[in-house]
Amino acid sequence: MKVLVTCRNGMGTSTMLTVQVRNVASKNGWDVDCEHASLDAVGSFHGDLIISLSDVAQELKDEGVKTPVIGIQSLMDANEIERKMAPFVGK
Amino acid sequence: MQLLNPSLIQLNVRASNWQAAIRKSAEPLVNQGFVTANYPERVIEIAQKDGPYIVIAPKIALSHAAVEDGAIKNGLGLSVLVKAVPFGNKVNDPVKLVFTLSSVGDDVHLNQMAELVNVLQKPGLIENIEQAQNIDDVVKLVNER
Repeated sequence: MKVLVTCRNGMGTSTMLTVQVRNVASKNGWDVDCEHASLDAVGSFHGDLIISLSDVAQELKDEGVKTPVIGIQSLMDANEIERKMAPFVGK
Repeated sequence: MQLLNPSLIQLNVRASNWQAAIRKSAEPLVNQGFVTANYPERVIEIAQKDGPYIVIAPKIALSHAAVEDGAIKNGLGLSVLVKAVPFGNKVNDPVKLVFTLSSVGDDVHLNQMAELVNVLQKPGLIENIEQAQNIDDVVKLVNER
């Protein structure tokens, strides 16, 4: 599964969130190819899932982005990330 | 690898609102040339325009912007506020710890961010940092495995 983790500038938040997504994927044995970038990369992303913090996720949904988007409230909560990603894994 | 530079840590920081919290937390990084004086102003401007995206977890803000906003060299600071301040983030407010990140995006720094994520998941870490009496205690809490 190809995942884009995104935040406003593609540095702090998305880097940390990428670490978490990779940790969760490896713990569950999910085959996840995860890259991180700023919001500018969303338009040219042709993968399976976009992950960001909640406020950015809502904005992407409002803009009508076609790729499924999940929003994470707490970057430190691995359980939340696992729970929200699970329905998309293996599709 | 040292995650937090002790000279960028501040305890008992007083801030009456989130803008002041961002500015005060950035002071050591500005004074030591990690970011420009305009950098915290850019963090505030972007948050005003785009919402409180920098509140990344309960009680924790990661104040950061891009190289073009004034990041000069890689560094990570931490300020512990005396009194928690609302940032306008419904889920994770109020903020007690402000990490100020200056990232120019090399691999070393990505590793540091990975390290920070792992460190912040240690049970009780946030509470222990809030109660730390001095900067050495904070450094120990963050660096010990």
